[in-house]
Amino acid sequence: MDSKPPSPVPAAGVASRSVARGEDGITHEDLDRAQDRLQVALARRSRGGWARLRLLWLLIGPGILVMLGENDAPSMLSYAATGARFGLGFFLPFVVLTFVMAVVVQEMTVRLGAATHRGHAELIFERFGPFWGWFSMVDLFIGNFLTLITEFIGIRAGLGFFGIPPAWAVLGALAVVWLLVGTHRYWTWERLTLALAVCNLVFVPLALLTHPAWSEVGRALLTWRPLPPRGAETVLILLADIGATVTPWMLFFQQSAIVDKGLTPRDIGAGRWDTRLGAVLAALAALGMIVVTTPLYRHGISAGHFRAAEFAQALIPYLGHAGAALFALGIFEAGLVACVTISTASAYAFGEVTRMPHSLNRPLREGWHFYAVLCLGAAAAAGIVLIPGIPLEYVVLIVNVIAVLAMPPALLFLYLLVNDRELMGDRVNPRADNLLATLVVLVLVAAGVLYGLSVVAPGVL
Amino acid sequence: METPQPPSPPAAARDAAARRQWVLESLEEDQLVAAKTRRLGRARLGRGAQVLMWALRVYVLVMVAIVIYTIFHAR
Repeated sequence: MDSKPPSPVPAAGVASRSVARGEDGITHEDLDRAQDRLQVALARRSRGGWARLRLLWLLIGPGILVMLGENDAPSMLSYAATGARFGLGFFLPFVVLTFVMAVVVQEMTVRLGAATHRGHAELIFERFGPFWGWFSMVDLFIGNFLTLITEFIGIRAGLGFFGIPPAWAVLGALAVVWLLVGTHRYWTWERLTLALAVCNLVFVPLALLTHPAWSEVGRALLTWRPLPPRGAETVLILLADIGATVTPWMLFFQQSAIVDKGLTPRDIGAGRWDTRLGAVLAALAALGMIVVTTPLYRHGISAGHFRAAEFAQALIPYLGHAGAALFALGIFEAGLVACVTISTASAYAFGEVTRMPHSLNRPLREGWHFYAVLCLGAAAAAGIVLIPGIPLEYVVLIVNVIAVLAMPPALLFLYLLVNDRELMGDRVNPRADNLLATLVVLVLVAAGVLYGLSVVAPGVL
Repeated sequence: METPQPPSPPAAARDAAARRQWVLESLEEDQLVAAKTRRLGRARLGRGAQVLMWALRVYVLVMVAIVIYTIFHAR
């Protein structure tokens, strides 16, 4: 941050730590959030290009985190499998389309969070009641826990490339998650996680190392060709790539993060740019990954059941040892960032439905339930990865599929909430957004039905 | 567009009233933790929305059954 506005007096924070809520009804969470809003107000008062950039810098975060967070270990491995199995073609523009869908959906959470100052789980419980609320929570918690397991699989495999034993890899990642939340300050947590998240872009220079045929990349992006062959494998990759971009935890995370950050209706424009910027960065990394593994397709190397370390090994002839090491580090980073964001999404949702303190601005003594869910959830997933003989490959295979299948009901809740005039006032969805949201639901349901057919009646495809 | 004046931090932060005033000027009323204890009330759902909610719930259960079948089939 380039200029320091007058500090809201550290003594205020110190005083508030002595009680969960002061005699004045103000909590530590309120004070920290007020401090962040003061920075925004000061930046808004300034004029000129730099001031506008500074304002954007202060307001961005949840959108980039959610998009790069979703470029997690199983997602990056899905993109890797896409490039290795199909090369450059239909899936390049398809992945771009999935990010467009993600922007459409996530923009609604920006508006919802900024307009209501309530998290997604909280709104579902309050507006639709506990019956539908718990259905939604079960979907979220199961999906998040399975995804967390796959993140630790990615972490273990990524660091395994360097000979680091699984236990050390997993414990190291857990330590990073705990250190980040240990800051007990949303702003610090967000900036540190952002710094980690942008490392996802390592797949862009790696793609350049493979000397891609740019004419083929351009043709694929413009014409969606060559088309993949029909069959169950194509459907699985299709679903995995959708699930790599559009998932329920993203809705819960971004809305809660926006509330925790303290964004207001006036910040919705910046929130939109944050989300778009995140989508562009994440799409670049995803496309980069497809390009990186395309040489495996060209050389006929079967990579159907490759895991992270095997991809890295197989890519040594095309990327060199340093490039393969960066690839492995990229998978590790993808898993690590997602561990942070997905654990936080679960903890936010838990706090919202139990009405317990749920903010990264809370000191440990006030928000220990929140931090306990966050840290213990991650620790449980990490522990499962270390149990010998557990068939983890099934979890990796189905986690993105489950995300796609759970998404339509989650989107219906979002659709109903964002069209709820009592909550949103004039900020309800415009007709065009409703149309787009409906299209996204239809695409997801169609993808799910296609998957069902590929299992039940494979001959139909 | 109007330019809001940022609130000044309280001169004496230990003073509860000043602190409260400063926070109230910095945050919207609904952003305060205390405001979140207020219940929003249930939404009035139309028949179509309820049918859709049930239909999508059934869809998820059927698809989960298919996923479980796939896993056992693969083993």
